[in-house]
Amino acid sequence: MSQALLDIQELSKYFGGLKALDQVGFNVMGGEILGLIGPNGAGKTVCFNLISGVYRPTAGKIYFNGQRMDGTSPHQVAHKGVGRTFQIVKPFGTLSVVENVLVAKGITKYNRFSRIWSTWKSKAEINEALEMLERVGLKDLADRQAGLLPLGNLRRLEIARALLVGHKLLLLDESFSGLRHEEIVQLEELIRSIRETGITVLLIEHNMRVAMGLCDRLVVLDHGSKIAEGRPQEIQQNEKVIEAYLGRKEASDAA
Amino acid sequence: MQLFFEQLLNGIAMGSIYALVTLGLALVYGILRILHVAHAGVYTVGAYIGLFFFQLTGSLIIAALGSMVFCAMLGVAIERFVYYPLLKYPPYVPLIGSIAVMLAIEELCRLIAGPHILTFAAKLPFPEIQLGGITISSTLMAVYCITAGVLAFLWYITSFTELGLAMRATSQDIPIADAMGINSHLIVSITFVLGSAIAAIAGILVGIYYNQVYPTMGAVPAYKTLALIVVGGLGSVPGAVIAAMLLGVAETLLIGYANIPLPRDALAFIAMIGVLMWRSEGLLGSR
Repeated sequence: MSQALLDIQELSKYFGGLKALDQVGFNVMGGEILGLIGPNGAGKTVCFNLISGVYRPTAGKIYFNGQRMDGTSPHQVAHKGVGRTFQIVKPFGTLSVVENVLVAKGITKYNRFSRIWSTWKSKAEINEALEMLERVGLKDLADRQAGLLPLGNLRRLEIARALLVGHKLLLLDESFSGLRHEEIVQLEELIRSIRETGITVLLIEHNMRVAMGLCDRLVVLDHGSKIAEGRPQEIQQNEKVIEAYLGRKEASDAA
Repeated sequence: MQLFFEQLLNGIAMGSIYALVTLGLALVYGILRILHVAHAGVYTVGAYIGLFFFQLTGSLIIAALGSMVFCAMLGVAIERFVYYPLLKYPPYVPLIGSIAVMLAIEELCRLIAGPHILTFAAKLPFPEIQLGGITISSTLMAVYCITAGVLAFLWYITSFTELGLAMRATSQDIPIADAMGINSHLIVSITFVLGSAIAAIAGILVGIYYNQVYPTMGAVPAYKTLALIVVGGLGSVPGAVIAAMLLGVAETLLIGYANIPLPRDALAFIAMIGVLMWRSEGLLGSR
């Protein structure tokens, strides 16, 4: 671990009177797997949407690789090498699996007028896309219509797409939810292997066991504020975190 | 029998022109889920600008290019200044905006060019063909060839180029397309450029075909193309083209040849009502 790849400072997002995210700051170091956890409505996905440019922050700064990144539009964030998945899987349903990957592969061309006319049907392009599918274990399904795949495969497809875009930073939004146990184990291995190739991973996770087992460090949000940050063992013992998840002692006594 | 074939040829030409106008509407609906009624206004402007450049230079090629460029800019202006700010509202709001733009375009044409019917007396540079006693006029040949060329061009773009893939991705889900590095707003603008340039071609062809250009020439196409994209399956470009071809042939044969006592323009809406009752997803639509 060297310098921070992603540096988030005093980040806030208000929707009218609602403070969805309030002065949250943390760093993501190059090469680590950082987990963003917290109860429902804690502001995790809002935080992702701010990083990926879907929302503009109300206040605060985001630095990526030392450069200011807040307020840039989503496709520009993608061009900086940040790939993301979505909490609700959204494949391009009518395209085939391999075409879904090719859309993401197009990232090297969309910015250049001369290359936007080039074909995506060349052998080389398709072979590279198939290699990526092999890596996430979907090669056999390459020609299927993406909208018809089961959830576990869709999650892998989303990761394949995000990997082609995010060669520096990968944002995974609850990639494990709704998966069976074997699928969870396979996906954990995939994410570790992604980290081995030097890609930094920031993930939102609901499943505590997965988050504790997979992440190097955890950042805990509750009601839009950061309440803890540290190694999984430290977080497990942290009283504020236990309170946030299980409810305050007084409150449960009164009930 | 000869009359039948002549009518069939006319029907295919009619259908081709419907297809050219409907294409833009289907493309825009596919990507923004907006009923782009003002598209028929762009088509009217296309005919006027084409006629203007033709009278100025005497060259149909300059007229076509000038009209396509002007209409492409008009289409993008409508997208940027009318639809884009209204996208966050329910779909009927941009629809109302679109109808307003359509009326404004008609009235502007009337103010600038006058309410009279102008003639567009140009001879299209296409050969006349004799086929077993039937003559295919150079105008019909032009309509066939240009439509085939436009369709082939669009098919090539959407099926083979990176731009086409980006357009297909954007039409499915704008946030995801953005996350894949696609500048979706630029793709939307390119869609308007394509659709509007094609509408300009259609406007010129119709102007020459009937030898007339007038401010309300877009009124009938405005609602007929709406019926056509419903029949074809909302958002399906191939569906819209097939529906347009079928309608052109059906109109000419059923009413022109078989003399069914119905107003010609009613047919599109009978087809639309039929589709809505029995096959609401349209000919090629999904969902």
